[in-house]
Amino acid sequence: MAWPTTRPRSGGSRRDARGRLIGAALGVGAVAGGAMLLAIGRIAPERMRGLRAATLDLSAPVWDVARVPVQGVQDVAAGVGDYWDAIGRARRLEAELAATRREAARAALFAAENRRLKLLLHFTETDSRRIAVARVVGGSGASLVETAVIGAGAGTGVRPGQPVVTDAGLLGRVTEVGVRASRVLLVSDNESRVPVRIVRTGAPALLAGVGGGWAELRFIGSGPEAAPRAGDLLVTSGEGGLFAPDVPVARVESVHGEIARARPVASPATLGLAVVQSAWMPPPSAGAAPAAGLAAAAPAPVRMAVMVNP
Amino acid sequence: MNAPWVHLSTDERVAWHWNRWRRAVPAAVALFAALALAAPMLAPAPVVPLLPLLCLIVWGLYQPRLMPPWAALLIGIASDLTMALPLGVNATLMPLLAIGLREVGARLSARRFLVDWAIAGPLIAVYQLLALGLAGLVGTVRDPSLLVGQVLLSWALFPAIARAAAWAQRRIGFA
Repeated sequence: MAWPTTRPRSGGSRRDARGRLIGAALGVGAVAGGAMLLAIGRIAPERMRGLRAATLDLSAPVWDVARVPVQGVQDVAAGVGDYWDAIGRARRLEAELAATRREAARAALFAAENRRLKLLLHFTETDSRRIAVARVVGGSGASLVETAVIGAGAGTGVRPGQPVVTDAGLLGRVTEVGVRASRVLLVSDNESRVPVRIVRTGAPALLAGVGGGWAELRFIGSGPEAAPRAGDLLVTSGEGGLFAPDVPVARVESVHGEIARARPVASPATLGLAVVQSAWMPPPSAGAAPAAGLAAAAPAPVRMAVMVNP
Repeated sequence: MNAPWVHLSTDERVAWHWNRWRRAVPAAVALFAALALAAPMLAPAPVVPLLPLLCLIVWGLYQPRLMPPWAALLIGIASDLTMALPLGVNATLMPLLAIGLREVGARLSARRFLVDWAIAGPLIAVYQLLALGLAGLVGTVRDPSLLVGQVLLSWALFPAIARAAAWAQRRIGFA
């Protein structure tokens, strides 16, 4: 280490004293400025929106380019990993495929029957519109906030609150929007709440992120048969009107008494492209925060719940 | 620089600008390091090392005049924005840290690098806990146990950052 030695202080001079005073004043001012930002963020968070959007637009293009070598290394590692236990995995997958084919044939029958029944009832389907398809070009891998940055923004019609899905399932919802990039709050973040349904039992519940790539089930519908089990798939229920129903969200991994922990299906490792969708059935007060209603506890029909939402 | 501007050659003009702006290099490097915090690394726990914080500690400890608190404020704002934290968390703590390092560094002048390295670990850990507490105060409370890996990684990187900063110091020769 060749750090230059610091010059000895020539104490006592009036000029030095004034310099130190100015330095101290600037220091106190800097701390006060930071604290003021905290207060403003607490009182009026929307004041900071422009700054946050500008940061997204600034950092996303940089990482869109820098991502390429990182992706290359990951691809090579994945390619090497594919050869590991290839024969054993191929056998397992073939067995799984045979079982899944039978299921798929049954599912096709059910789907046809479902279509006929819906026709009989004059049931109209509300579809989410696709707003944008974008690459994941950033994250917040340095903090406990679990977000991803995608390369589409207000320029292509992305708005805060819109759901974002990947090929695996629900990724999260848009929270901040720049012109060419926006930030997505992942399902596992502590601030995320997604109204879900347990596929096996049909019981409604609220999936709350707890951080570390995990989420917990809350407000599970009553009844002993409604209780979740490890391996249960959770799909969106359509409650609240933000997320379209029947999108896979997470899979229950463990149940300890009242606490059921689930892993989101759109795991960070499988991220590539993401699709931004329009809010499914926005409540009348559009643009408001998603009504992650406590009403999720009531096993009411989905469309009814949308109606009664404030 | 006494000669009139028009009498200077291009090289001399470049040198003049460089002389003026080279003191901004440490703060600029730390600001760019904040961009690293927005890397598309989506792991369940924080994995990206806290490069701006390391820059701040290294320069704040060895050359506090090149890392004044108001520069730390800018670095803190950039870190908050790229880490998606409530604005003001790092922006409050980084100037405080810069002031603290300046005062401590002036009082303990003769010490070994190993001592600095040993201090840096707990310093980063305490800093991250304070940041988490401050973020919990204005926003959401989160689980601190997930930070362990990131703090250890940042600590392990401290000598490399210090070495790089010393190299820059020799190359650029801040006055």
